[in-house]
Amino acid sequence: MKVLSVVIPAYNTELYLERCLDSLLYNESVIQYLDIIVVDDGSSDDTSKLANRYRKLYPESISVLEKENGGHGSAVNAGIKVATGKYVRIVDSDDWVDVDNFEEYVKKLKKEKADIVVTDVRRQQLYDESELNFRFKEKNDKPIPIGKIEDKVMEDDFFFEFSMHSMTVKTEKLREVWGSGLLEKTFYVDQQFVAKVFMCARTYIEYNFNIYMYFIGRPEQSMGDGFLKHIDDHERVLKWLLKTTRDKNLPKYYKKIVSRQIVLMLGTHYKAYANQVRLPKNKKKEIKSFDKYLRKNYSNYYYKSEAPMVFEQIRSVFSNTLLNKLVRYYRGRSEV
Amino acid sequence: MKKGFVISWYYPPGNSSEGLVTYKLLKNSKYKYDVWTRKNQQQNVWDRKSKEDKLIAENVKIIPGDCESEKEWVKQGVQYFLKHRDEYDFIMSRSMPVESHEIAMKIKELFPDIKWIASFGDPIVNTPYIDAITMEKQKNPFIMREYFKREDMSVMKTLKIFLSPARQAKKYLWKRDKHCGSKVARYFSKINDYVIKNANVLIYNNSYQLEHAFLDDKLKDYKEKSYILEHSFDPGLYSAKKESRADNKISFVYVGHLDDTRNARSLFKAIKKLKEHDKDLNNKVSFKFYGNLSNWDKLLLLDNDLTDVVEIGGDIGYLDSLRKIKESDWAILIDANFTSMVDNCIYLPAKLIDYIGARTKIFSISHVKGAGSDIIREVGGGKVVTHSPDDIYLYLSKIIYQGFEPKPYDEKCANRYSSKTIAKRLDEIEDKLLGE
Repeated sequence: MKVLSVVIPAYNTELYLERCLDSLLYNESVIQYLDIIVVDDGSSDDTSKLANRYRKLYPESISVLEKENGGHGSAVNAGIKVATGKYVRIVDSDDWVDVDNFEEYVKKLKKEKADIVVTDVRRQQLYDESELNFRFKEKNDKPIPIGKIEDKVMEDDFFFEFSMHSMTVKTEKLREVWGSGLLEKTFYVDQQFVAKVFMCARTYIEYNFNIYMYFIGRPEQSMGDGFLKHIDDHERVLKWLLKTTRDKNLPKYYKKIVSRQIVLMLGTHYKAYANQVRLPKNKKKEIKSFDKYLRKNYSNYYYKSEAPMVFEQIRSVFSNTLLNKLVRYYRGRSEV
Repeated sequence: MKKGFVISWYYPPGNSSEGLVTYKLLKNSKYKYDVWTRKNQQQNVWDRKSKEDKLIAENVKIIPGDCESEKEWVKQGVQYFLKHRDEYDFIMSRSMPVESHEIAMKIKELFPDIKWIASFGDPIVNTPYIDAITMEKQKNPFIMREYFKREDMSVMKTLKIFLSPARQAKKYLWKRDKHCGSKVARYFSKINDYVIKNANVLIYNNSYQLEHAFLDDKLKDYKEKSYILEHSFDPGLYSAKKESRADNKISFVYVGHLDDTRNARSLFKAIKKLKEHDKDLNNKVSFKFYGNLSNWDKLLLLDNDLTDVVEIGGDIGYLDSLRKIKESDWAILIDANFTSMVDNCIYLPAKLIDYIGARTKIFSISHVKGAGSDIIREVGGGKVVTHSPDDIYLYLSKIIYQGFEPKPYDEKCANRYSSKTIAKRLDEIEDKLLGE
């Protein structure tokens, strides 16, 4: 049986995929344990050709799925569906794995019992030439119940410690809750993935090393072109997460974890509007209606987050009083 | 035979890749050229140990202006042309610096009928290099929050510092220099617009640069007269045979200029990481750098004790540099990292084509997409990595420990960059311009 399925959603990344595959295949001793699934999400470049070239070299360890474009989520869904490894993890095609630790990681997974394995993430930021390590602070040697995740971890760096890039999960468990999978043609489904993992897992363990190389510097990357551009997707994912909190079949700790996730995401969501120099009318309307929806249906999460405070800022800064118009005018001038 | 008046601030034996690019192009052209250049270049810096007679072209006559400043060079250049106007069928101006175009502009104003080819080495407007300098200069150090955020100081003391003559003097200097970058940019923009509008032919060395030059809508109509003429290598300049080396180390060589903007920091960080994992690294691999290295890079080498793996070789002649390239297993190419400013690399380094000419494997640290990266993928023989130290580390590890080999050179593609082929394309452009 394969130990690890690596799902690689790929869309027009022919110039990056090679690095991803080269890193996964770097340690020859573990290639036999790998089930690498490249999901070509309807690329118009040579992504599929490149993936198939590797498949021919390693037919036992690499498979290529070709499908119509449906976004990151749909590619992950397709990969999870066919994964045969004991564990599964997602590696985006423009990212890669740390070759120094990957061998040990796969060998440890072979004997592992925990439902989730958390490893560190190293972020490569090309625009400011920096490398940041996101390390899990509280290392544990044995699997521990999810319910015992310390509050400190939840408060400090939730997003970095529990992300799509840091988590490896038991395939069988994940499939139990996968259902219709991640939302299609939607950005930010990585948050949905994290929630799905916590729906199914009972225990987790942290390995004391880095595995994931998270690359920021691709011109087409969604992070680079403005959060507000894809804010609708963020709202969709948030609404999906909020809805899951009402599911009575899910374990108690799930609610605790996902509520932290929601509170953090709400802060980010509102700040994306507040950080604009000028807010178009439709966007003003959009955030107003979302704010109303939240206060009406999920007031507990709303008031725990920064949303009310940031919304007040949005209201005062973007209101159309004469004073605000003047402030905006001068603010705009100073921006120029 | 028709003859062109070429205006080029740099020309061999001067120390410049721009000059060498011009030399290789003109030498292999069927036309005759007089090159208006500068006398007091750092003569022979590049060629002090090599055979200079190789850098002579029979169809090219060098006319060096005896001047120190660019302004004087422009004046003398125009005067020279006025005296010899009848000898020339066309003019060709080659930047950088932009003063070459300035001479051509003045000539064109005096002789509107003269045929003018304007060739751009690097873009002179909207360049990330100038943007980087301008941005740095415009940061006001006196309104930065850190300046006032001194909790240990009393209000009086803060005021005293705030109003101190030293601070006021610094502020004055900052204000004076603040627009330096934008002033240069405005001057360059003026020249660029004139050249694009009035030259008969525009030459760029890659398609990214061409597109970049016409970002401005008001210039789009002039795009039709543009051509792409890449840099070239001259097979005759390389030593005939590859000398064998005494050690079995994998050798990497970098030849050329590095500075604070285009630097080797990411590479050195990767080497540092390699050394942390392998104490015996210096017996397996060597990196040699010839040409200028920034002081920050040198400090990085010293601070991290990398001098047993990385050697700084200083300046060498051009022909020597070609020999070093040929002798090495891998030649390193480093582009500046402008990820935060432009999507793709718009610069085509001349050394890349020299590397191709030597058929040495290329280890390129650059933007994934760009002039150089596209050529490497097309021609083969190299690996392109990003400026991420971990990306560099991955492929250096593969080379050192797994014998990674890039896709072999496609000879047909590589020969497209030989100076004869590129010069033939220049001849065709000139034939068309002169109605031959």
